[in-house]
Amino acid sequence: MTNFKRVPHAFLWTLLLIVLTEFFVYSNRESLVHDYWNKFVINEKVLAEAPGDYDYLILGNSIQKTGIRPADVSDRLLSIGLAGAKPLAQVALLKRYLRKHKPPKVIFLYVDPENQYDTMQVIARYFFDFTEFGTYASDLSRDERDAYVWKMFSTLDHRKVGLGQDRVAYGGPNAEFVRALLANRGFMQSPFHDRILADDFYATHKTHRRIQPSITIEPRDRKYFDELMTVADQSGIRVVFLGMVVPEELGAIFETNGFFKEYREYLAALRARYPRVTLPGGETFGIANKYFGDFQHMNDQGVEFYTRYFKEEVFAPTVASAAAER
Amino acid sequence: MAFNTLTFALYFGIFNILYRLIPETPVRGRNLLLLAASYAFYGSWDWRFAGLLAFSTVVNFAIGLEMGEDRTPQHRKTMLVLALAFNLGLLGFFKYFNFFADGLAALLGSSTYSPALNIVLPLGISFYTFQVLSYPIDIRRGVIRPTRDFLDFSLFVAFFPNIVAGPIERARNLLPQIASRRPISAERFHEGAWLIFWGLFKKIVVADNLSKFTTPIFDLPVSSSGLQLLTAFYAFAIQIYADFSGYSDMARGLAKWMGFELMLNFKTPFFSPNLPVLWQRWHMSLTNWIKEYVFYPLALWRPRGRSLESALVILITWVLMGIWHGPTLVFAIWGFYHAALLVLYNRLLPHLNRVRPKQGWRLTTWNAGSVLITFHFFAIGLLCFAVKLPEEVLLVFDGIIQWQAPYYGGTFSLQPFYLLVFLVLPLVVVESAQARADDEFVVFRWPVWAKTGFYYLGFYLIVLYGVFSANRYFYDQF
Repeated sequence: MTNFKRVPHAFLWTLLLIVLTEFFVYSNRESLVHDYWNKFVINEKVLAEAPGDYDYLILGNSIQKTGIRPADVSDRLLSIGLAGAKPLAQVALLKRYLRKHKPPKVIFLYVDPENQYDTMQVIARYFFDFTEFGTYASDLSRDERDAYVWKMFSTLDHRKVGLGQDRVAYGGPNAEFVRALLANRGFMQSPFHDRILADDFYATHKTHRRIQPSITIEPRDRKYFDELMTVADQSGIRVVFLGMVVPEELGAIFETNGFFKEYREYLAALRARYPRVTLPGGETFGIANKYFGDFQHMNDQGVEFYTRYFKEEVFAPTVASAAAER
Repeated sequence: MAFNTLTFALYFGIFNILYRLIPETPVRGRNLLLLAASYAFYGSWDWRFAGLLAFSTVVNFAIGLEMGEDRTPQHRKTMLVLALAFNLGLLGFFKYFNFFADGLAALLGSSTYSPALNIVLPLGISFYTFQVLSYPIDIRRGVIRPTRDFLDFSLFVAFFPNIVAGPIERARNLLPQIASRRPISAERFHEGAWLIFWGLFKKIVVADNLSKFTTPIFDLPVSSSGLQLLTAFYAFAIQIYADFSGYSDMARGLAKWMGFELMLNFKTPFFSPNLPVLWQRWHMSLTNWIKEYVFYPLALWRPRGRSLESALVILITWVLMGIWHGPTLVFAIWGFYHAALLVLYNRLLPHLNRVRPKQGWRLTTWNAGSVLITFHFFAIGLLCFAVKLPEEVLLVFDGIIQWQAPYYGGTFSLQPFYLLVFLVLPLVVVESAQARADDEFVVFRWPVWAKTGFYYLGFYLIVLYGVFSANRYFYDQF
């Protein structure tokens, strides 16, 4: 038995204050996290569990979340996704959605071929709950598991994400962020929505991390893609692939270095395994740099363009073919 | 695996549990674990270093045995010479070989060939060599008897809290502790906890944040503004102190948690009224070592019946202190600078005593002024540690005096400066309280609310502003 009389009182008081502080910070982390992209991930739970059922879901990542405005396409469309999401995160998100909603008729799925570096750490930290972490822990890297465990020490976790120099801060309160997310049915305005990517951006940033020589598909991506297809199959959901859209300057690089070729082959292999999956809009395409606000996300003009493209080239044919099947 | 890493925290946590599980007596059980942990800790940098350490241990242990009381004085003297030759030879080979090889090549006018080798400097070699040297010297002087226990001696050499950057222990202090029962009282544990906490704060909050500010400035002094250089001048002095004393505090705190008492290495040196006093409070384990084993023997030496000039003794001692840090001109200049200041101070002391006020506000002002002047002289010397080349020290001064504009234009942002002041403030508060009370644990005597507030603030400054990525200490390069 510890003799508390021998433990300095100041130490006990400090310990108590630390526990209270951590509890307070942890309970309010949605409000305290002011990094835009992490705020997006943390709030996606709210969106996925919000009331109302949808016939069509966009299951993508930040490119679709900031690029397609569901309200301009259909009132039965919701956009869910996590920044940098690969199939593991998409399965978790879809399962979350299905826990509270009727299965949608169609999922517009983006299979991301890029190296997303540490984004799975952010997803583990901000999106996974205890049971999700337990389910996927064996497929997470050590850093990703650490990120989940360390979030319990919330002030340290907050420091890690809050003081990042290269990330955009979100100035408004969390309630406002969530309100906009719900009102826009998952669409989020990119923090760079009013900027224009220079025509020679990649020419002047030759070593930019997005210029990847090869696609990045890990074994866990294949495993969870299969699981996603199983979930969809069991729930009677039809899966439609969304193509990869990039600034045309980057598209030209990807055509030259073989990245697009590899990606097309990968999608073809997936479609060969799952013949019911369709790809109405093409696998890859580049659109003018002027439609982007940063190296990856679209600006207001780009949103107009991409939403219209999605509506006309992907959504409409899918709905038409579904109606024809019926 | 430096003290300021999470890996070490985990390592020490597991070690400490195992250590406590082993009965306190007989001490061999805990010593064995401690020795294994020490080698694992030291070998975590490079396993070859551990091999060298083991080699040094075996040789010094054997020499120690040869210096037993049953041996003749002449034999013991020969063994001491052998010990000095072996240890200094080892240190010289790893630390100074390339310096002399390059020098020799330059002397011979060879621009293409140098016998310099690609030698990796074993971590902490200067520290543990001096620590080991205290063993044969003290045996020869009759201060201690040689130990016959190889385990105890191995632990004395490899003891992990102080192997990388001191404090440089004496065999007469550490060996008896290793051989005897070491109770870990609540008081000792409490003191250890404070030293670890405070040492970590000094290192990762104060030193590492200041380092982020000073390093780019001193890397290119000509491109920084006069204001930046002046600020960096002060910041660097605090950085070095916080870094090194932070390490020493942590070493002593960890040792306390194992029941050991390591010697004090820093005692609020920046509150010293003059340089001799400052040097009694800064890196005390090295200055005392040099004083005991170099300065006094030199001062008492009577070649041809005459003693050496005191100025010469000071000069030799301090240049030796300088090149202990490394075989570079800048460290030799640093030693010479301090020797010159100390000789000058000794000459001026009678005059200073005459004009020194006896009481009242004049005395207070005099004392405060003395502290400030002492700090400035010392901080000037520290610039030798900030730059790589001696002439860069002059560039720093030139930049400050000329109040030079930044080479690349731009203005000096005060924002990080305010943060640094905020982070340094707790250090100033605690140090001044420690200096006033002459008690490093003065915080224990504060009211509970003040202690709680301070611990809470310190904890969150570590969490929020601590630099967890820097896993080296400034002094472990020596």
